[in-house]
Amino acid sequence: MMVVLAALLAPLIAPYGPDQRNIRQRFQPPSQEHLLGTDNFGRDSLTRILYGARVSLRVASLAVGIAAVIGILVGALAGYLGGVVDLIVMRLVDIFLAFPPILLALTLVAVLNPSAFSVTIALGMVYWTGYARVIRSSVLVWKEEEFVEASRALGASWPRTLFKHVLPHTLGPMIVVASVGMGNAVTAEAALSFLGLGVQPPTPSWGAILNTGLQFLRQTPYLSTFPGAAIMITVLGFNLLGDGLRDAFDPRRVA
Amino acid sequence: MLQYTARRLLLFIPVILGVLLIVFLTVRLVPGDPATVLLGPEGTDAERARITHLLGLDKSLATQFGIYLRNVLRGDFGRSIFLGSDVLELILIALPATLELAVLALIITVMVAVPLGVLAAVRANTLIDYAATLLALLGVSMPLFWFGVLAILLFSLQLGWLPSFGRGPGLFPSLGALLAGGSPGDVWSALKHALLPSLTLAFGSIALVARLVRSAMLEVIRLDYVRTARAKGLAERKVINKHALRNALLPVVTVIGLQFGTLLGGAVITETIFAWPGLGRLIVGAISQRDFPVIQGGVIFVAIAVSIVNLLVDLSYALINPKIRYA
Repeated sequence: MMVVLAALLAPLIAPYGPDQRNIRQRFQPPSQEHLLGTDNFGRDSLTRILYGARVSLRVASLAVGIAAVIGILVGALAGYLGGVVDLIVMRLVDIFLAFPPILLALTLVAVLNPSAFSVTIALGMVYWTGYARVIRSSVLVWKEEEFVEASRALGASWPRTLFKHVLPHTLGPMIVVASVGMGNAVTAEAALSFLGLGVQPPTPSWGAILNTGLQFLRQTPYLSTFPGAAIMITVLGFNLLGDGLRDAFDPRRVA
Repeated sequence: MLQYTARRLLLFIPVILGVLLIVFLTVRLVPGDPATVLLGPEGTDAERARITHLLGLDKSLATQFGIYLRNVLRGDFGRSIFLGSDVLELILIALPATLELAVLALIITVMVAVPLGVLAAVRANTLIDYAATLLALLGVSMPLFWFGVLAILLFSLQLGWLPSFGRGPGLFPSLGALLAGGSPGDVWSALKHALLPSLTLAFGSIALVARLVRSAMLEVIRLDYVRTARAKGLAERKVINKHALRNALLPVVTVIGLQFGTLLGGAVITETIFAWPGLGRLIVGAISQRDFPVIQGGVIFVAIAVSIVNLLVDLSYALINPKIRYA
């Protein structure tokens, strides 16, 4: 199963990584001589979708990065220090979780003026809660281990104990969460761009292309289908990656 | 149980306060000065100062928040900058439309996902199971708006079966009219309008819940009391439905309740695609126009609604499963 997953993943993710600098956007009248057609401005769809991949992946990975850093810091502190800190942090998590994620991201982007940058920040601010929770549970478990006690007995300061000893063990499940999170982030970025509140034109984004396609649905149905397929394939790849990683980390697996 | 309820309610209040605070602060983060925006570049300094004072923006942040809090408690969410009407009014008008979608989507989810999950579990590792699992995986990965667009493409444009936008006469009003002796034609039209959007909204949920039902059922089927039931000679179907399903459904019910929040988020996009006059579209429109009172009011409303539903779900789960109460 794992091998199959790995094989599935490589071809899925590879075409979306590298950019194609030798293909440039050309303005031509709409026709179907281009592989995926052209859009309403005559731009080659295939190129736009490929460039859109760069945008989506960049935004998604940065957003996940931000979310992970915030989440790890907050979750680790809450789990390790416990008590009042934990209480406050968990309330904070609950507050953020009360908002449907897209709604919160929308509001944040609106406030910060839509751009690739604001989308990244907004998504990071929305998704950190997942990481915080996972890390916190992990830390709660690991801090009972003996080597933690030993470290404290040797007089290590608590930040040192936390970061050097406990944290490395907790990062395993994080990778699973992060890979699925990438999928979510890609979808969310596309959703925001779809609503016109994400990456701004002329920078291509899968969501924005889909939106344009919606307006011209009657004449050019293919304009919407491909970016959507691209999104789905990418997200699927990340989901499979997450599943595969989870299986790999599962201690019950017979290696 | 009472203690648990009290505890949860107690935790609920600071969360709501926090929600209000965050929305309040977020909106205040906006660069630019509302007075300048309202007056345009020709306004004099004196006029700017006057408007700022009128809007109450010259007071300290804490005071402003206090005023806002007091207003919210009285139900006053302010007035829309562009439409002029009371924000709460706007929200309440748009609310039934969104609720229609959410309720329909939940119903569809339950009706489709539960049987699907059960089927996949009962016929585990067969072709049906693989097909269902694959479908579920695709469903979870597929972006909502793409499904909506494709659905419009297929059902509206190609086949011409269903309308692609608008709400028609509306499900709740037409049902009400029906009960009062109106024509069933309206209900039918409302349903036709509602079908595509609610299906779109439900799609992701169906995939998620189906997966969950499947794994829950698989776990339960292995348990001893199921073997007992079978040994007693009960017909297989009865075993599944009466014993296994009931217990497997427990976590599923919780998830379904929690899906409400996700559905509300998805409604934002779905309503935009289908031009459905609901809360989501209201908020998106307000965001495009930077109509902050509406944004604030709408987001807070949704957050509070979601919190209440989550609270109810938690409480009902604790009611059903006594083990949780001692956590």
